Amino acid sequence: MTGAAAMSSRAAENAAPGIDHSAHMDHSAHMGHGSGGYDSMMFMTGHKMEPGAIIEPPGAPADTEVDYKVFDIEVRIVQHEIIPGIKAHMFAFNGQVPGPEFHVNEGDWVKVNFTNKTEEMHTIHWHGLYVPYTMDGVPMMTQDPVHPEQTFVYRFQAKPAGTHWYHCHWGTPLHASHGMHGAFIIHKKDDPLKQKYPYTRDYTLMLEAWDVDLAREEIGGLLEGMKQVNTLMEKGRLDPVTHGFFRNYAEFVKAYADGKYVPPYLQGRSGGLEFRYNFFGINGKAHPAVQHMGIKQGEWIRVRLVNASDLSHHMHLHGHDFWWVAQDGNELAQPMRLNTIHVHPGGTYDLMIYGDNPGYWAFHNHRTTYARNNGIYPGGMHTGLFYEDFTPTYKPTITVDE
Amino acid sequence: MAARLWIALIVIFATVNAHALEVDREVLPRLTLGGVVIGTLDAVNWDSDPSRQESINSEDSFIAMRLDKRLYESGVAGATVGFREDADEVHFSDHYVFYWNRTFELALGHAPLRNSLIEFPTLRDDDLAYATLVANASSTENQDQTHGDVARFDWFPGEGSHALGVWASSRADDASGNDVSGIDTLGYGYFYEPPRQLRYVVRLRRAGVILDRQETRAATGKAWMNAWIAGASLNLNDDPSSNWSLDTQLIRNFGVDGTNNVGDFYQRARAASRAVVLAVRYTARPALLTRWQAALTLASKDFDDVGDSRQWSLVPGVRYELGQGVSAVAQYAFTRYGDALGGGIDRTLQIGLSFSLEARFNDTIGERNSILNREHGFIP
Ligand SMILES: [Cu+2]
Repeated sequence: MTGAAAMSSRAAENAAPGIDHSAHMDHSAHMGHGSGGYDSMMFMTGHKMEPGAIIEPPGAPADTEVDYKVFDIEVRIVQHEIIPGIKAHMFAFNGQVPGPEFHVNEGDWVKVNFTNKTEEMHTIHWHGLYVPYTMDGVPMMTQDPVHPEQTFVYRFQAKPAGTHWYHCHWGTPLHASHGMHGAFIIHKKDDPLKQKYPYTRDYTLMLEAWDVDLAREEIGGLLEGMKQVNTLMEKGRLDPVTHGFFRNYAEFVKAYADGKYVPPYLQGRSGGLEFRYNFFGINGKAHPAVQHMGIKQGEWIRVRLVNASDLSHHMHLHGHDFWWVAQDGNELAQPMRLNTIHVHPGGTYDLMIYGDNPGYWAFHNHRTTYARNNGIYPGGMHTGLFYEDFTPTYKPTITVDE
Repeated sequence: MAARLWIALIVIFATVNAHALEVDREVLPRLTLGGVVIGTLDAVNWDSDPSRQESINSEDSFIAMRLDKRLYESGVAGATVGFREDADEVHFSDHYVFYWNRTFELALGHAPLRNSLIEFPTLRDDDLAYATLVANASSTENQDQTHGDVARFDWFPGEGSHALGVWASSRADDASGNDVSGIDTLGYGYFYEPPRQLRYVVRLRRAGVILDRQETRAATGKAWMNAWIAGASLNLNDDPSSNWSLDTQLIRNFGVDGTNNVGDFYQRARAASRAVVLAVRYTARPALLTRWQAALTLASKDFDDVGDSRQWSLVPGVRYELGQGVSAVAQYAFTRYGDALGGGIDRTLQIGLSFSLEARFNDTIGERNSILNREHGFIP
């Protein structure tokens, strides 16, 4: 035991069975977290698959040092139903899309045992959180991707408070949108927002876009490739170049110049894969399968919008203005009174709605082409704000083909 | 007149404007384009045809398209049309309709015959046709060896890699001098076909056995002829970046009784025979990108009731991928004929370029036997 022991006391304690960190350790590592470093294993000669291994990165306190709230989360491939008649295979945290919603208090210590139950690689990025960089989930920048059947232990303190989210950062355009996203809510003690807007209900709406056809081809293609990669890795014969991994930029340039590496972005290799999103959703479902939000007269509700797609959405509420009170988890110095909020990729937006106009009110993407199902309007990103305490004079039904 | 014009305009308008109306929309099918065009310079030295000279050869090129759609309830139906070049003629080789779902598949129309099981790594599909397929005993035409009218039903018990097939065909007939042929082929087969996406990680890529019953229509009369085909394609190692594989197929043709001569094509097709083909192939795929392939194919056939009737071939070939689907190719073929077949040796050297494609457009379907459907639940 050389470098591994130096990583941190916890890492030594919980050293993963089967993972010999010493073999790849750069003893001169000075990666900025105190006593040592841990490098990528992908370049280690004979780097092998270690199913069942538990990867404990350095950078956070040991179990004995702080009191962790422990979560187990795994990713597997499921058939996810967007609306009746439309199912798609997706990468899903704990088998659900979106993944489970975390609720923790500011300052809590959080430990997430992330297990990869697919044949593909994944990570988790904690979007908006101040985690140690070794927990940030960016492949080859902060960690090795989590291999099939491995468990990666993310540990961090929950901060800052507010609406955040988490998503896979490996193959992000496909993985994050096609299943691997979920909300991460950090509650503030005596939340000043709650004092200003005494809300009694709290809704999270993850805004989503899917190209179920490209996803079918791409996930299928990934599995085809990964079965080969994993076959090689099982025998310790995987060339990291297969994944497009290079120790540094000069090595990448040289590999290309020598003809050892044919980059997949070359026009001779890539047909220019493009997403043509054909389904849009809120919390995994498209209209009319999206759940409505409930409200009563005189009630405040909080709505947290999280854009888990890489498109911009323009959510418009009928019959009301709302107060836009926070962005990316942080309270705005000056709340804004709006009825349409522009929700950009990756961002989170918190709204407060006051119930003062009883009725049934649409809340939908005003880029109305995203309020369609496979081109048919209305569908997609379309829900409603439904008052629960009034006598309707027109009772809403459902329309799906106008 | 004016009324008719108006009706026509309304009809046209309604059709063009089908969007958002409760009408039957035209649903674009998925389009899969497949094809190969091979051009080679051939140097020849043939005892079997001493007049044959060096040539520029583009035989066996084809293009086919598959059009298909999901159905309302479940399953997929569509059509395949394809054209194949042979001896400077273009043949409408494929035109058939099909239906498939998770448990079975149907095809009906002019389609490939099920008279061979394994594809060998020769430059052209018909390079060793004398040994790789059961010949059409009623036609000498090249296109009639591989295609015919086919009605076929495949059942996938267990919804996995196993398939049981039964089919009836009508092979083209130029031997009997009449063009009414009727159903002249009945076939049965068992096939083991894991998803193509697994071809570098499974041990067995493909295997099967076929019974091909063909009614031959020689001038001397009709007679049924039975042939067994068995074959397998397997990986010799488990390294997808440096892959060795082996393809082999046996054909046991029981022939038509009393065919003791092999002087012409019909006789050779009808005579009881044994054919074996075996190929070893190496595929170099550094970083899992296919770069080149070398193969050696051996074929041998002889006839039960005719002495010194062996024909055998040795065919080494290489293929270097210049780009995806674009290869520089070279092949040498050595074939020796037994005396009953005229004796002598044919030698052919071919160098050229091959362009192949399999491009899918508007894919809203996927494949029955995809990894996702097989391993993660079938999505109809
Ligand atoms: Cu992922």
